[in-house]
Amino acid sequence: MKLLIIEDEMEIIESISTFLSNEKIITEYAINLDQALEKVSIFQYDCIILDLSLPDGSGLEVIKYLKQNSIDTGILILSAKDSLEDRITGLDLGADDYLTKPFHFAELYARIKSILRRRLQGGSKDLIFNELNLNIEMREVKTGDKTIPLTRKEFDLLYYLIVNKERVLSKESIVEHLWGDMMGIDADSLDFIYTHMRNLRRKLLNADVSDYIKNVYGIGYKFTDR
Amino acid sequence: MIFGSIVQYLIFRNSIHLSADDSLDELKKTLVKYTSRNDTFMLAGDLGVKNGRLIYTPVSSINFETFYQDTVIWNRRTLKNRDFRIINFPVLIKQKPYKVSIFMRTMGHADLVTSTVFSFLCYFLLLLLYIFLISHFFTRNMWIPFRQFLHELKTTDINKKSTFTFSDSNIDELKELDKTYARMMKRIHNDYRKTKELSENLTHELQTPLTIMRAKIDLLQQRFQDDEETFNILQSLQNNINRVSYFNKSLMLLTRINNDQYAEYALIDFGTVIKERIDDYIDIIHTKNIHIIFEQYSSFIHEINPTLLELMINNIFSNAVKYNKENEGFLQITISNDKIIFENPYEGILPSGNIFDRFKRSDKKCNDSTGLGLSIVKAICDKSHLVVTVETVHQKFRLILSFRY
Repeated sequence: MKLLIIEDEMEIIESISTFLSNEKIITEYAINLDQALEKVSIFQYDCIILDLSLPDGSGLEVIKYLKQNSIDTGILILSAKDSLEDRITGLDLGADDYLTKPFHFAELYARIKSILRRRLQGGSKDLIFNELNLNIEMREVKTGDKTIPLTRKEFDLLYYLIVNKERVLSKESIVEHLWGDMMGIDADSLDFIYTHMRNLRRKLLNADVSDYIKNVYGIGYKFTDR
Repeated sequence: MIFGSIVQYLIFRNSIHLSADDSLDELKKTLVKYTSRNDTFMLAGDLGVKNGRLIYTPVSSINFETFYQDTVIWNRRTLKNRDFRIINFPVLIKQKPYKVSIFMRTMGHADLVTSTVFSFLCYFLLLLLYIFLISHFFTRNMWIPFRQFLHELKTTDINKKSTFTFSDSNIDELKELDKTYARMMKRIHNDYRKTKELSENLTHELQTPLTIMRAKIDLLQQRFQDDEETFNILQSLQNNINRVSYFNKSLMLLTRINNDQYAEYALIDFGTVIKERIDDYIDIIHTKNIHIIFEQYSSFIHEINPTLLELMINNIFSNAVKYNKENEGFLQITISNDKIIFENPYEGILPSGNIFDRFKRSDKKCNDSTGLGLSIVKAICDKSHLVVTVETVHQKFRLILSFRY
């Protein structure tokens, strides 16, 4: 699994690389448009993390180049510019997803994972964790032959937890994943996550799935089989 | 003018007397010539004056000088006083001395005053007419540039470059005003643009260090997963970074709204959007035990940017949920054809001053509040031809959206 990070801020590149190396993902980087175009024309990447505001031009140029030359790779736009036009232009040009800075690593990882899964050639695109089987396209969870009825939010929550398994997810990060970050929710309100988590856990236990959801220090959750 | 009239009166009187005296002198000469030649009385008809206006009075001597008199005679026929100028002079007829008096109608004091006052009035009226015409035709044209300028000042938009000029005018004062105005507008534009750029750049530049901080803390948190104390400290840091970040995003949003960066409008049924938003919020709303009452009597359709509408409803909901009552809370949404009312219980009192001002919070207990929520709602309404008002009635907070007519 090889990723290219196109970003002009070295600190951000280092942080993403460190984080992804823990997930056994190899990363390379380009700090400007010039380097980026050079790298994508020579090497093959599974996914590209692309910052739109580069010192020598717009990151959108990279997407145009990739599409013109029919280079097949996943593209995740990462931008400080939270502008709708950029988002629409980027996605129209053929980017797979768009994430605004600042972001949670768990969120970044979940987005990368889902891009990679969508692009998977052949084989199962399902997300599997022990006895759990998540069909992303159908938004269906099965254990054996049994389907577990989950609401839209519960499914998203389970997906987020499994993708970030063995990692403590803060309530804030979960809320942002499920509802976006423009809600301005105060810390007290974060408790509503608890209700969702309780419902999800109950549904999983009722379907004879082991209890993988662990509450961590009252500030977050972790999906683990250890 | 009054002084002029007095002078005019005096001049008139003088010249009238002079001309009357001249004529009387002529008559005198004619009569003296006639009597000396014929040595007999000359009749009034022969002298060319009316009967009774030539009187011979026997006197004792002819040793007196010619003298003039003014007199007033009552005219029985016209029932009016008449002014006369009389010349008196001596003649000898048949060795007998006579005083000859010739009467001549003249303009008297009253007539003169009347005519002076009349002409004074005529002058005055003519002057008034003149002033009126001048002001009507000339000053009307003179005010045109002023009105143009006033219109420009009223309609000028600080976001757009002004193209106003009095270029067709060759009046020095207007040219100077033109130059001064252009210079002033340029300076205002520059300052405004710089402020806009500063806030845009500032918020944008803040995003990068915030991203780095968040990323580093994320990495540390993964490393210290098993150390509760460290993890909690890091989480507290993370939460505060989130606050700054959320705050920054809100400011960026406000700047964008004010810079008209959401220019695409569409006709949208607000009821549909509100229902969608309720579905999204239902989890939070239920956790807080808030009861939702949604009443729609009519559709509320308005032209607005879809993203802005969503942001606005989010902010209104977030506000209503944040300041709601624990357990017995409710949020009532009433949609009629001309307004939408969001109502929730509210125990505090509204802060004094404009609640829509940035950083205005109703109380300090909500530390997570950025104080920007209602500012965003207001900014969106301003850009979308909507009016937003708030009121508190019987411990209820009401936010009302209506059309701007």
